[in-house]
Amino acid sequence: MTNEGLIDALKLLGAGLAIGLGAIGPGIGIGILMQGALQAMGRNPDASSNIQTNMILGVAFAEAIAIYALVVALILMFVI
Amino acid sequence: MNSLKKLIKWAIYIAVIVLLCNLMGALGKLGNFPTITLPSEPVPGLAIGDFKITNTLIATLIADALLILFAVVATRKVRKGSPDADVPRGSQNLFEILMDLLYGLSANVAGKQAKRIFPIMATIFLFVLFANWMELIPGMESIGVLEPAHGEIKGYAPRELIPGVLYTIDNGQSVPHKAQPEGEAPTGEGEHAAEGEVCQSCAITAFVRTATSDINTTLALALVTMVLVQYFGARALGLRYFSKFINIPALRKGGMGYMLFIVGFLELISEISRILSFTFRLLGNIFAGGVLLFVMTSLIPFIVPVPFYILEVFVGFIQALVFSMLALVFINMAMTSHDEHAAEHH
Repeated sequence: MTNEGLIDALKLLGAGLAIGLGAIGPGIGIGILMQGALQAMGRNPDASSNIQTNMILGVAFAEAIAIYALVVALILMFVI
Repeated sequence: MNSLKKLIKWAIYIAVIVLLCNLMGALGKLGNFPTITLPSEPVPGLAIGDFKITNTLIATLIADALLILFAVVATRKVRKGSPDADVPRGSQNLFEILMDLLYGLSANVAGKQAKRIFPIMATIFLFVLFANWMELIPGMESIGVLEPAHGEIKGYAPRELIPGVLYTIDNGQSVPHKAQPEGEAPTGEGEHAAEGEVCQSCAITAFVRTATSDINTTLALALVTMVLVQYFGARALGLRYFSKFINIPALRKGGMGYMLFIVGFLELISEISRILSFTFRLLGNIFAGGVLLFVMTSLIPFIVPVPFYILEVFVGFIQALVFSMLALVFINMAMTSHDEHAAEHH
């Protein structure tokens, strides 16, 4: 196995692992977040729009972590 | 009976589309897989002396021009002072809805200080929104120049669409380009196309590329935002604001003060990490969205990319909103002094 081929293969493997493992945490996090938000909206429908605004903010924060993992995967595939 | 006819009609539509895709795939004329690069590329031929103009810079300028045009058109009646402006129509209506939404958000979060923070928050929102949504215009990242491929980019053989004028790359024939030894300029012998000749191993360099898919744009936005946070904080609280980071007053009190001093350093680190998080959140969302659209369109150019376009519209809007809302929240937090902050919680 040549050195070049090994490096290319490991790059792709690394990219796959980066985004695959990196998306587990945010996925669970967003699920827990939505649980809290929906429960709150169920208990207090009048505060729905307030809760929704804060929920979108929270989802963006949690999703940002998955995006960091995606950026690492993209850097592995297209830059290095 | 009617629903059966509808079912048959839809089945025929879908069958025709699938047949078309298969036919064009067999002929090799399906969507091309584009050249995906993370860094932005300078547009060849466009340079002011040594300063190369990149394709994302052109997109930023276009977004700025569109913004100014939109603002001018939407407020034309208001500026003329005509009584017509009381019943808004068209772009003025849209602008008023946007401003209402954003000002409502600011007032909700910032209360009394909303008037000061609202302009910067709305500007960031509109700029990021326009820059993100420009990604969806056809021809955005696909029309460009054929350039010799170098480095990590794969090269393909060129294919003529209109002889002499319009070319594209032929994804069927991958042409390996000679590896560059370190230190040699990219326009070395044998790689650069001779005058008037088409390259051998080509990749497409787009003319215009989404502004926020370049790390330079997002990093600039993030830096400006964080510097503005410090500026607003210093203007509202005076030099006492910086005691948030280097907490000398707490150190003098002793006891718990030592802990608060260390917390000040943590605050400093978290400010820097906010810059990175702003940058990568926006960059990752928009760049990955672009790559997703590319891949989907190059696989099946009919109908299937439409849900992904809808996703991109949504993501562009949400990312603009999140960037500006976070800027709003950080500026608000910087402008409230520590004692008011504690009072709010009780």
